[in-house]
Amino acid sequence: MKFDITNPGAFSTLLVHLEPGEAIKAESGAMITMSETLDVDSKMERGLLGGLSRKLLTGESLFFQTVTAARGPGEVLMASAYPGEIAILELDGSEEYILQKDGFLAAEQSVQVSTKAQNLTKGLFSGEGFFVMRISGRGKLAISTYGGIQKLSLAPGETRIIDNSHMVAWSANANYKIEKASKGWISSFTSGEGLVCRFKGPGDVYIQTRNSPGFGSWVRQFIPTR
Amino acid sequence: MSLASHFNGLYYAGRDKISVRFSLSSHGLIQFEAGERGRLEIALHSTALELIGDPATTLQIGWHDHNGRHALLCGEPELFDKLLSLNLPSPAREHITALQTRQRRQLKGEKHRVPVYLGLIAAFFIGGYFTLHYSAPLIADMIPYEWEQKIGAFAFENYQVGKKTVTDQTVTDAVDAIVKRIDRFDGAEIEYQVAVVDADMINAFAFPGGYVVVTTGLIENADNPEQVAGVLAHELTHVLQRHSMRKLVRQAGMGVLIGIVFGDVSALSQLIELSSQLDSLSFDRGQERSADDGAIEIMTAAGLSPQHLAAFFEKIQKADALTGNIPELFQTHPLTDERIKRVSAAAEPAQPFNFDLDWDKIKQRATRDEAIRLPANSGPATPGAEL
Repeated sequence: MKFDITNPGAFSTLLVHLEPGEAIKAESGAMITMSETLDVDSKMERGLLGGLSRKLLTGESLFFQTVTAARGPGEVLMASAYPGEIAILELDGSEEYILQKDGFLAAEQSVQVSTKAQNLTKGLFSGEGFFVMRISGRGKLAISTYGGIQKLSLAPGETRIIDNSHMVAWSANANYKIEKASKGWISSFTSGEGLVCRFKGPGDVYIQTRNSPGFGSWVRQFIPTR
Repeated sequence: MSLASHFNGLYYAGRDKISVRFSLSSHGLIQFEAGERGRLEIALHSTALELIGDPATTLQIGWHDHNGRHALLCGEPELFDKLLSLNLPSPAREHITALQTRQRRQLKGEKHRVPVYLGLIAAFFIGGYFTLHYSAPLIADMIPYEWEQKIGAFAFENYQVGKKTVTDQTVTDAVDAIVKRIDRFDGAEIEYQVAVVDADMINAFAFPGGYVVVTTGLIENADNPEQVAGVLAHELTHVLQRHSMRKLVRQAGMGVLIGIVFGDVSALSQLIELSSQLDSLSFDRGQERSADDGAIEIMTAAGLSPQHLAAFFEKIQKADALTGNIPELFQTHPLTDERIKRVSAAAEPAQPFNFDLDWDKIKQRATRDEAIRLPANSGPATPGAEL
């Protein structure tokens, strides 16, 4: 199995080559084009309850797409619904990742996706919502972001401040705390940052260089009011 | 008991990471192959142990050297058993035991968190439903009268779209006379607007703000104008007691409720959008009972015998039993024996009054084809205005 990023940049796509018998799971609706040797199917990952909790809690689709190379090798081209880059992570089983709810694009079948509940403060203020995805297992994982994607590697004990709603994926080992951006509450909000997340290493954090709520409020000013 | 002595871990040297398989000897020596860095050996007593991650279930064995910080991460719970089997000084043992307890608690808590949140979400919706159910009357009463009128006017106009309205003056004057009589004795200062709609169904309703619709089916099936008055008195009581507004508010949901409480005008437009459902909302038993009581009160005050209403109820009930069809009026206002009994038991008015109307002629004209014209948009802007 080979994962490649084609059309790099804002409208990047993921090209997956499958050998006979291999299969991947992908975000529902992600497939753009595929070889005729492949079959696309839907599957409720982790059964009905798992599917339902993913649908209800993370807002992801109830079903995942499964693309199987049933009649010979083939390739499938996929993309997420929004503009942005794609990153490929190789999981070797030694580390789990937390993924924000829109971040999942595709993964090998050996990668497990489950729903994780964040605690109250994180749920309310991290910009990621109460429920995120927890990724475990081994294999390739493709994540999609809104805007560019950047990987930050943190050494043990190293801390890094990241604006909330810019996080896409992070090692489960790298915990974060929500705090105000400046010392005082007023300056936190007047600086335009409000709340930020303080990550503590070791671990990797993938951030997106734009955030959709920010883009939404920027574009809103140009929409004529009725 | 034989304990595992090899574990899978993730070794960090600064920002570089390698997954490793390490061993822990009985002398407290950690050993592993770290790729290009060769074989590493670290004595446990020179490290700091800490639980990290989200949830905090990964044990971090950290140390410093001249190259900076290093850490070996391991999430296997068995590592704790191995650590506790070593001959360690008691403060270190206590620390490890505390970490182990915390790791177990975290693992358990993590497993339960999703169901707990799901439960909380369910509780929120169930709680919200009951809050809505019980606070709807209070909130409906906070709606200003002008809003109610706007909602009613919209629903009234909307109801007539695509329906034929009766313009024959004999009919409209008669219905007007009935409504005026009720208006004088209903104890409220509402100006009623009436439309007679051509429909075979036996129905009448009153929208908020005093907009009243009577079907030709009702006129045709009523033996006298007093029966129509009884039905209208019942319907108007629903409006006066704001039953329909309460129903609407209950349909509207939390956002609109908050809007009403804070006087947000956008809540009005949402209520107006919902108002097309007003004619199909059904009332509960308590509301029906109080509308019956209201009808009895108005009828008695207006000199109309409540027996007329009871007679109409009985007539409809018998017809139902024969045809098996429940008229629309009683689909939304279920008719029970108990209701008929209550109305029949009502006292007669002290000063009886009867409408001076040729009812047979009115019935005839209401059902004549030429009495009917095409609806609202071809006529005056306010459909009820001509009455």
